[in-house]
Amino acid sequence: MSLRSKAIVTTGCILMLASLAPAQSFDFNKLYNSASEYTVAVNLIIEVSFGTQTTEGKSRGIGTIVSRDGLVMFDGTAIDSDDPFSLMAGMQVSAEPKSIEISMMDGTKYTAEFIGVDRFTKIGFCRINRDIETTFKYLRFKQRKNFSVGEWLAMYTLLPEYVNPQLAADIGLVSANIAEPESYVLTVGFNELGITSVLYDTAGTAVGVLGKLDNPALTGFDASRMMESFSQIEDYMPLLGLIDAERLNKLIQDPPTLGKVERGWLGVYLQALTPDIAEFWGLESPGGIIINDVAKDSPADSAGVTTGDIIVEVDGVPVEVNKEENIPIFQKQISESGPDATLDFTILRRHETGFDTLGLAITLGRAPLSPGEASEYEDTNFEMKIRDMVFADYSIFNLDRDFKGVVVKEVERGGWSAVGGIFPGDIIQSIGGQQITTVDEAEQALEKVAEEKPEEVVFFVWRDTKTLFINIKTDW
Amino acid sequence: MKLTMKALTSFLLATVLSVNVFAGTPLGNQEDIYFARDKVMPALIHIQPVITDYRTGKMRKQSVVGSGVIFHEDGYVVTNYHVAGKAERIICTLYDKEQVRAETIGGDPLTDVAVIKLDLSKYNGKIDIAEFGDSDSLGVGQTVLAMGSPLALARSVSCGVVSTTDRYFPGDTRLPSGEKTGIYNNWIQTDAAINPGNSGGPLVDLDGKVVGINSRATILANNIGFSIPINIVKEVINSILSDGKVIRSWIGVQCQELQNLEGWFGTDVNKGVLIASVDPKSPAEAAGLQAGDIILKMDDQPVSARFAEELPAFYKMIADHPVGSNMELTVFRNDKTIYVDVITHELGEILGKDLECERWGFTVKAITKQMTVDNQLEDTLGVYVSGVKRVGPAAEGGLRRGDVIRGVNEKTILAFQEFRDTYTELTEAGAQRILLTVKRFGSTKFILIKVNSHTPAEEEE
Repeated sequence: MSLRSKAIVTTGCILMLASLAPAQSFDFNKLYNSASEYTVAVNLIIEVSFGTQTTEGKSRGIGTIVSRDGLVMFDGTAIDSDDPFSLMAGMQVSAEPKSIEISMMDGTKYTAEFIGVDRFTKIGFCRINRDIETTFKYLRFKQRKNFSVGEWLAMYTLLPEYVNPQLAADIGLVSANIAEPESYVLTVGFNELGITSVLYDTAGTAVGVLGKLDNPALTGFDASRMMESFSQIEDYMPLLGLIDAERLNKLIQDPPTLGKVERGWLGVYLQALTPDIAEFWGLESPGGIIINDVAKDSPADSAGVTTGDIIVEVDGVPVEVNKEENIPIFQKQISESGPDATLDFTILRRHETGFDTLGLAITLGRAPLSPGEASEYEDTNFEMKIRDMVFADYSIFNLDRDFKGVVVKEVERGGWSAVGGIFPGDIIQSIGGQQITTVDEAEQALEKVAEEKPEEVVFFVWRDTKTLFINIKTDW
Repeated sequence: MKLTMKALTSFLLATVLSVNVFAGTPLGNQEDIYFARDKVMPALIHIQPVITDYRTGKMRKQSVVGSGVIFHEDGYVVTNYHVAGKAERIICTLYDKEQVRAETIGGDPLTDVAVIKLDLSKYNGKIDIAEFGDSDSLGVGQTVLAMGSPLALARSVSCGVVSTTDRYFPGDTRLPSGEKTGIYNNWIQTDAAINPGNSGGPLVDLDGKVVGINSRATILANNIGFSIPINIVKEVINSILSDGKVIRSWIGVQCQELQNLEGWFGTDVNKGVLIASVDPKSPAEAAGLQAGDIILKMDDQPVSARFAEELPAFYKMIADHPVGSNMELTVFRNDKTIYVDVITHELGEILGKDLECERWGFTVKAITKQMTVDNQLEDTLGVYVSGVKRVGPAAEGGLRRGDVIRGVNEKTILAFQEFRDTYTELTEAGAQRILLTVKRFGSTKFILIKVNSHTPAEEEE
């Protein structure tokens, strides 16, 4: 409560300041003229599944055209299918919007093709469907190295649809240069509605977009950390700041593509080398990654990394992860290096009297699909959605790798499957006696069932460490 | 669950109606009710045990109230396991309001039955005992009395009928202390009022015989109470008195009712018990039993579970089979009849012993075989973290409930006793830094416990 009221007071001060000095420093006329050419409204239709029913939702947000051929970046949080909270709660956001409409400031409307969402910045990308001769005015970001605390920044935010013109200026200032968990320019004065809006410095240069720094403890890939995040929900307080031009330009050049996973993967479960543990082991390292487990047949496994090893350097640069909250920095480094990149790891391996130092060159693999990226199939007779099993399922449910099946993503209330007793989260292992290992096989089996139209179909499912048979009565 | 006004009104209405019905047609002859009362009430016991709870990462003592009934002139009393099965101290109030102490003789969480013995050395009154009846001959609609201490109101009698004799609860039913229960019996459901505090008290028929031990009530409902049939209780009492516990066999199968699945498996109706799941590393797995197998006979005796209500009796047949002996099963698999021999293992304790590591801020349990099955653990090695104090050295270091400690200061710990000794040793030596090696979700974490100098224990010194 006190934090919140403090924030309000701060914002109040900024607004007062805003009416005084800095507004003069920005040439808002010029900014508006160019911004209104490449700034668009992005209207998304999204499907959200709550396990028993799917609802369609609309979302409208600001977008920016960043290439001549109509590449648009926008806030992709609404289609973040990897969100661990929703995953554990059995809620599933579709990994792809049902449709996208781009509305230019002059009123022209286009449809657009969805490309993907970057899992770290949550910036989404789509491409405008255009005639071959149509080109667009677009924005270029310029990288700036240093920002000083107190420096003013401006942006345009999107106003509601019934207003014209639809862009309004807003200003804020650099409030801190954060060093950990990652280098980050923090701002004050902007609010969450401005996420993904372009930030301009007083010279009128587009230096980045507004993003948020989430508590890193709330993200991450490891199932046990996912569990923990539930208990830490009170720590959720995003800090708004600058996603810089260097990062954006990288994304613009090679936008993240749905289904085409380009994240690097080592295949290890991680723990931070805290100063306490380092001291206990007599290590002077500023940080490191303790390996908790190695996924079978992963790049780390093939390279001979074992549980208990400590990664202290990557490509000669010390790993300065010294608390659990900083683990995502390392994960991000691996992920962004991409598959097939070869990194040099300096590893400490414990033995009875001390540590050996090993140098291992490991070629990264391709990160496994997340549940949101897995192939899925919807059966309209049985009124359920199923998806392929992914790496995370095996970790969360502690299953052997030779365990096979498809995960029930959703059952429609009152449908055959729901009435028969299938629950979201069940893993179907066979349908009508037919072994099922992928959604393709399930689709074939269900199509065969649809041809034969039996009165009853027996599913064999895994639920909460046990298996059971479920007899589903049909009504063709 | 929210009760709307409308629902509330209909509840009230229902109550009024039932009173009217009661007034018009008494549940039994008044003389019969007095007769039953006089046969059992003098043996009724009000029990106040002090029980321990470790779930918050700390040993907490708690005083609870339950009921019981004397069944033997030496002062043996039957009650619920969840009342006095793990009690530290027990004070009992007899029907004549005199108080005596009692000790736990033994308990069985799986049926929720415990036996305690009154210390009658300083008691000069006369001990009355209640007689046990036959729960198999109970009929739905038969008048029964519930006796005990609802909400600690000692020596209370309520009256109702048997609502059903074979109530089955699907899924995992657990006691407040976390043990599974109700695997081997269905329940007698009665509308004789049963409230918290009635636990362990007798359900009595009009012959003045104990036909059940009241153990569960339904919250937010009126007059839906459940008793363990006395025939099950009698067997458990005999085992506790002769062996101190109930020795059961285990083969590791989860079964499912065959109703609606007979056609699919191509079997006759009312023949066989379907195996739905086989526990990993169980005797059943070793013998090659599979999900989908239908057990037709056990040692030449035909078995059947078409309905879920028939499952507890089948599980009891397995449990009653001599431990370590050969169980000959006739199994129907893929349209063929095959024969499978399973060597039974002892079921053993469901939960292990508790230990509070006060200085480190958590509690552990010894790991039993059944805990490995329930919690997907690889084996029984190490100790299981049963609770972590919200604020304390272990919470600070990142230890979590469900972790399995496999090493202390890089020394492998495989047994409960070994862990207890190590804890005592390190605590006495005043160790300030302890590195735990724990298994979590199959991976290995390193947890550093920093015992600072401000722990309450040290302040006391």
